[in-house]
Amino acid sequence: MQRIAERDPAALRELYDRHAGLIYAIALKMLKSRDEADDLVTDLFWELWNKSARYDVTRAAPVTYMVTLARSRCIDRLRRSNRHKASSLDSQAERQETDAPSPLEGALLDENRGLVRQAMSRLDANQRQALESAYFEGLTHSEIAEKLGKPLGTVKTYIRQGLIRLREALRKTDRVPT
Amino acid sequence: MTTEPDPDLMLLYVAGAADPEESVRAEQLLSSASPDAQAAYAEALSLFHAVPLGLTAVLPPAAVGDALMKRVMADASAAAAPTMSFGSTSVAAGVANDGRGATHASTPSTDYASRFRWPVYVTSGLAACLAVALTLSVWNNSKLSDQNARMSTTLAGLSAQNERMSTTLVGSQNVLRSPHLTLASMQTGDGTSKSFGRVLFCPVTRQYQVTVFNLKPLPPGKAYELWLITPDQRKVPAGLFTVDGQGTATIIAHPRQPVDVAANAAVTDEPAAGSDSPTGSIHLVGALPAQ
Repeated sequence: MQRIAERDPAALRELYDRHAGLIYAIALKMLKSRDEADDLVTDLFWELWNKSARYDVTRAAPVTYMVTLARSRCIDRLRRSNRHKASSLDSQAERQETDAPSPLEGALLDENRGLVRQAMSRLDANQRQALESAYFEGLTHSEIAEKLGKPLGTVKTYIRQGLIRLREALRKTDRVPT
Repeated sequence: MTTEPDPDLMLLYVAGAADPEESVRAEQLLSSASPDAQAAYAEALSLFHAVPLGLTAVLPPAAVGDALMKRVMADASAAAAPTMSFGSTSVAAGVANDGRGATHASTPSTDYASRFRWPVYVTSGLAACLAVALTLSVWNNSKLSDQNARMSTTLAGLSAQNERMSTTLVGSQNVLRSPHLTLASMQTGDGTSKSFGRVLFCPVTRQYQVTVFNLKPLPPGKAYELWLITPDQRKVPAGLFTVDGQGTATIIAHPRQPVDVAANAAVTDEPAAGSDSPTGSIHLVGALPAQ
């Protein structure tokens, strides 16, 4: 990111090669449109090229920053296309974009993505669905409750337990600083 | 009001699952500047943003990266370019000087014209020489511009080729560095050809590196296309390529749709723009290891 701030195109290319696949997967999952996902990836990396000074290395690993930015921009697009109701998460996503700290930085490295995938696959189906609805659709817990046809308290439990189990799975591998 | 950190509260807060009262409490804890509360918030936030890391990476179409990098390169070049103009200043000055000289030469004094015609001849001669030099200069400049345009086109082509090779190289490095690397082979269907292929697979990044050998070069308008085939026989196009003079090529698979598990890989010949489903001959096919 430092090299990008110094206007080194090769640095952006390296960042793109390393993370574009993940960003594109997030965009496809959230936007459900290949064209929009193409645009989002282009816009996001163009934004990184032009506004890399906004990135604070002391607050977040690059991948954390990019994932957060990708989610935030996807929510912006969903809102603009009237496919998404404004939710309290929107403002939170903006806050995370600049404030995201990185105590779990180790878990966010590429080589640990397999561990996250494994941990997610071991979640209870309801927990995983609730978590994914909160993350990828930006739904509030009441909207998730309506979507899943479950009581509000149950959905909150799903989300809380899902994140707790994710944390436990990552801690077992010593990938997560406690 | 307690200021004790509550990890579960922070989990709900960052996931948007906190009630209004819980949100207020979380924000009060955060504003209390308690290190424990900050740490709990940070951990919850990082956990929440670990959720998408479980997604299988899907590489965007190569055109997306190419267009982005062209834009970035143009931006970087524009920022680095000096503000001076090229050539026009000296040419313009030459025209102006020449114009001034010609004006003086064409308005001689009547007295001197009859007695001292030689300065007029000399001046006219000089003006003619300048005009010829100027014409040659403009012509030469035009040739240089054409040459410059051709070289720029060649350079852009080489740059794009370099970017593609860099992408493949980075992808290959990622695959080869994996401690969980698996290897599979691809063969021709009938065994009558010397063609074969190797597939390296990294189960962590879900990247496939495919190298083919002894494939025949295809005629213009055709290209080889790599396919990843799922256990339910869904055939996902994963990249177009051509081979070199030795019939060899190495590519990193770019599946156009997410592929959670691929059971087989295959190579067919297709129109140069690629196909959504296989239409040409199958040149190589092979089973992939269990993932």
